[in-house]
Amino acid sequence: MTPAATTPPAVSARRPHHPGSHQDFVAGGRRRRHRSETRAALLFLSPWIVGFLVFTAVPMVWSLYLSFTEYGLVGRPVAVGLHNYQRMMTDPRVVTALGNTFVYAALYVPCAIIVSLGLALLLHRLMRGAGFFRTVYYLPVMTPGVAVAVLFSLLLNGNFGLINRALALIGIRGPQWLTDPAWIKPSIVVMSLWGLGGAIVIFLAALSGVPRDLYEAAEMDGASTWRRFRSITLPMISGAMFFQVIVLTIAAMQLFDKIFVLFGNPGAQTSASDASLFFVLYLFQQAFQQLKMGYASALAWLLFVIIVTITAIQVKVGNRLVYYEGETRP
Amino acid sequence: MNSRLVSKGRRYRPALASGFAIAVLVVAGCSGSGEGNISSASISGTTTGAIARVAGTGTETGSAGTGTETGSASTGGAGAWADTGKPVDIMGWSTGDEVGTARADLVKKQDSGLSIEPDQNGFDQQKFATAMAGGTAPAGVSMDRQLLATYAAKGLLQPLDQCIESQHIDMTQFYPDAVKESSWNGHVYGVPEFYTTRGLYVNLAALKDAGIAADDIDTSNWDGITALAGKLYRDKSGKPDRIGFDPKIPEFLPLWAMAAGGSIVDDTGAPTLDAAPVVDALTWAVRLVDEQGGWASFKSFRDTWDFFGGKNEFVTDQVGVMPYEQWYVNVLAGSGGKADFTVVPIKAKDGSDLTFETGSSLAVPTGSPNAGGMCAAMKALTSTDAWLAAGAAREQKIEKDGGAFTGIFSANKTANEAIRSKYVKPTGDKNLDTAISTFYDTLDAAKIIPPSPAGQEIQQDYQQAVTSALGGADPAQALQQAQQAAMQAFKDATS
Repeated sequence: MTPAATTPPAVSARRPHHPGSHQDFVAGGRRRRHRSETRAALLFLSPWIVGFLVFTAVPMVWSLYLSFTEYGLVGRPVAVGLHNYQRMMTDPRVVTALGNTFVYAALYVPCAIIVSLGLALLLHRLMRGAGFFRTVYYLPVMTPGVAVAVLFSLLLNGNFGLINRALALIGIRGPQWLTDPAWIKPSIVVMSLWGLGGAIVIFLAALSGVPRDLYEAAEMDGASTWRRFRSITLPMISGAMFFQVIVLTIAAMQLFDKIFVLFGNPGAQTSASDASLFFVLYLFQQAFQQLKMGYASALAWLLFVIIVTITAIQVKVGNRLVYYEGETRP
Repeated sequence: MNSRLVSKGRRYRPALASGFAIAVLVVAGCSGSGEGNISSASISGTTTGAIARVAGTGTETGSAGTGTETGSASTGGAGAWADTGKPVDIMGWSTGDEVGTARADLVKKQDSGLSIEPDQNGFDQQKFATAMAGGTAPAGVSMDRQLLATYAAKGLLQPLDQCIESQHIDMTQFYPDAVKESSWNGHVYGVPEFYTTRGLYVNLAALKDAGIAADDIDTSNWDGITALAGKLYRDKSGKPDRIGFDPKIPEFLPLWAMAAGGSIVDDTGAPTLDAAPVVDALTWAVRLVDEQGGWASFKSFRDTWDFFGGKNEFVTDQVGVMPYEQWYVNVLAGSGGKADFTVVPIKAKDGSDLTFETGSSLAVPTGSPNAGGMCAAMKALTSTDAWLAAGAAREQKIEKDGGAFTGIFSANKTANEAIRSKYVKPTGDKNLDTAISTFYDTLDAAKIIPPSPAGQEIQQDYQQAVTSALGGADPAQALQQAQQAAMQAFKDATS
């Protein structure tokens, strides 16, 4: 059997291989370089890998183990099988906390996308003072969540807060933001929208990447501003928007600091009914106030599964809606 | 050969990566599993060291490490409570003012070998839990007595019976209720430090406006209090401008339940949130709030008060009457005479004087690196001499900065009486003198919320019920739901 008869035409077109030839020498050099690069890459990655394993992977495995135990910090965890998970299913406060968290996320994520995209569009158009305004909008991100919560507890005071005073100027009687159960979640949304600097920066970057010639061509075709936004801007930044939706949803599901300062700790600025019981706050109460580390770990895993599920759905849906430049679709 | 090399190269990368990962995992795993055992291993290890050096026996360590009620303190000999020479760091205990500093200085003077290291902040549950889980227990801890039973039941604190015996701590010098509140399951877990009681703060200017005398305020008559609140309440544009009577709920629901002849916890530590007196108290308090603008408005107004400042609610005439803790006299007395106030006793429905007390206790965590030193420190810091030193320091400060001696309220009854007779003198302000004497005179009328291993949960559950009722839920139903949750927590804690 000749090589020509057994080898596909494309391969047979290549030059014949001679062991120990110059070709082998070059290939060996490439492989050595490749190995050396791999080693270097791993070396550079190793701090992150070690950090990930020590501070994320191992604690996650440990918490998964704890979720099947009863553990009160002293002594050894006592295995209780699925008891913590069964208890979760019958704990009415888990339902309340999850309900509040979902409602908040459903309110916050669309509002955050609209507000941050709106501000990014405005900042993108700015010619003068763009740097100044970008800095100004990013500043709240650097403000600690605790300070933001205290500040907003004053701003949102139902009787004397600045927000209600401003509303009164135009004849609107503002609600009792932080004490009326119906207004607690909207008020936390307002509070959270204050720190959207990160989202604005990402949208700004995405907007800068939209080719100008697309707008020019659309303008020549007589497309209106809205049409240009809908048909060019939105599709071109859909990747960034998709990323924002996922990140903001996860952040909303994990909201803690502001809630703890306003409603959760013994010296809380204000107090409210079940409307302020968010999932991570309940988890914290179980872990550090009631010292039920096993149950708290089970709650953490429930949240993890919920977030993973939501993210998977978002990715599935997002893949149909998001446009990636250079992507070809059947 | 080439294909073999390629194949080797392909194998090489995953092998290198996985080898590296395994190495890291082994390292991380070791530290991880070590961390898993740290709680028990290092706790018992530390205690082993401490006890081995002192008593030469390791028999007590197992008990201490496992944190059972028969820990080292109860099973070990007096040697287990000898000073190991390590610093006595007390989590949650900060010297703060001259009262703390003077006592710490006296301890240092009496025993130069005892090195007390105060904390910078008050007790923080998360900090304590993290330290205990990480095997870095402090030598001692200062916490609210209401938390002691919860931590004791979980094995995080050591019973002090042997400490009390070896150091000859005279527990009879303390108020019996404070000792009871520091005990669980027949063992004492804390040495009482402060003793905070409540009285009824009265805004005399508001009362004068309404033509009411302070002596007419009688909390044994709840309908009368509701009527009084109506007279003192004032609004502006539909918003509260002065709260007539603030029942201070949710925090003070236990007080009103006591006034009605009940308690939120029974003597066994079980919750009784749905008991008739508790339901009556909440129903009345919610109605009282509703008649003064409703909870949302009431709370929003209360949140605007400059509680600790010179423009506090008494100076600015924003409240008529409210129950509060004794130390608040200092805040109002420091308002430069602008707060026209006094304090009258709270009365139970049966007409007797009533107050409920809380306060901090010093305790020894399981795995304390110097349980003996902490035991000695607890004795010294809560002694009559230490409190008298605090009294002297307070008087010196007043002589220097001005002001009135409004009392120091420790859980040491002997010290309180000595301080009152030595340092508390007429201030020249009759109303302030009445306020101070009210608190001193009602010390013996103080009641406690009985200790419970589910104290934390019960507190959270009743507060939740109160806020639900204030939000419109039926008080009886809200308390019934809270009772179910609290009872489950109690069963979990005692099973």
